[in-house]
Amino acid sequence: MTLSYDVALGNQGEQDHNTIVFSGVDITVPLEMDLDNDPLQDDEVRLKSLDGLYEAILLASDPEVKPDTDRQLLLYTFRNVPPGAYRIGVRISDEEWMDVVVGLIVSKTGASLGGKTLGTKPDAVKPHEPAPAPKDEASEPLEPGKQSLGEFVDVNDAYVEER
Amino acid sequence: MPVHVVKSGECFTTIAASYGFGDYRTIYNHPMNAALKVKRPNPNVIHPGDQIYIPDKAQRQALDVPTGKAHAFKLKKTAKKALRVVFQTHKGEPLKNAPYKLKIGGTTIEGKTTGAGLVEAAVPIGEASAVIEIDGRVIELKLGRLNPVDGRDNGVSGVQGRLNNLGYNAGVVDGIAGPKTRTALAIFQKDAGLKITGSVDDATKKKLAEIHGC
Repeated sequence: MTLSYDVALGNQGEQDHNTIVFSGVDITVPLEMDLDNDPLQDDEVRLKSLDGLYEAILLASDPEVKPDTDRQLLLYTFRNVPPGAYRIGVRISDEEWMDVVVGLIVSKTGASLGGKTLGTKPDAVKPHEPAPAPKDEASEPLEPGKQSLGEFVDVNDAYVEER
Repeated sequence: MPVHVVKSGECFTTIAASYGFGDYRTIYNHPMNAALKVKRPNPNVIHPGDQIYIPDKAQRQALDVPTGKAHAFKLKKTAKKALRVVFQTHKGEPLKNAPYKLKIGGTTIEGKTTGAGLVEAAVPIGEASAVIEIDGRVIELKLGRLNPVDGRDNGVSGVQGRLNNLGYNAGVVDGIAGPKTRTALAIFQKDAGLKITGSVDDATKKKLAEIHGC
């Protein structure tokens, strides 16, 4: 695809210039492994801009999806996401898309939701480390301003589509 | 004295050339265009609809040359404009020493970006577009199409063009500050440390022009 940019010309010997930025950050969405308990069925995660012009879908079997076996999560990494406002949806089996996050803001400094900055590191998998002892997650205090994407993208928390 | 109404993609140099002036300053510095010059301090960034007075051409004095001899006349070089584009990564770091292939008209220029990520080339007047292959991408550059940030549409189209270039998706450059443009503005304002208004205000215009480079 050829991208198109409007640029200004200048006079020889002057310093005015145009700046073109190849934008895009990597965004990782953690989801529980095998949401429908059907190993033959690929779960899907969709990142879509609010204007609908940008859309990327990852299947659980895609190479950009890495397992985090310690936490029983799959990490869906969307590459080079341009700045904008997005929603994240999931589709399990042949069901309808269900939005689990609306209003995800991607800027040059990263991604944020409701003013909270989210991690954009593409790979948080540490497969060789031993699994920590199980903890009661609900009793763990959250560090202010450090809420991770994984803590709100939980389709079992009865997310409803926001309009 | 005819009046030229600026069309998209034109600048003072192209307009001057179309009226037979070798130097755009003959028109740009003409007293009848003084008000426009104040409004458009950069003669390369003017807005469609701007009105420019075209001065009468001074009649050149005829040269007396003897017959029976050969005479050499030197034509002035065809004026060229400068294309300068700085390429940056998402984090605002320059795309250093990146090989590129720039096609303008029938000419292909190959080179590497400078340490500042700059690509610079001379462009013959009248060329409307160029194509550059860089960093695995193919990009069309619409030459002279960037509108001023203080244009006749309150600068909206100029703001949209710069936002798009800087990686903020403002959508089609149509001079209308719709939801997509306002979202892009808000995100730019956040990144630039400005007050987040989502609207085209003077501080945002100034910062956009500064970061964009014109």
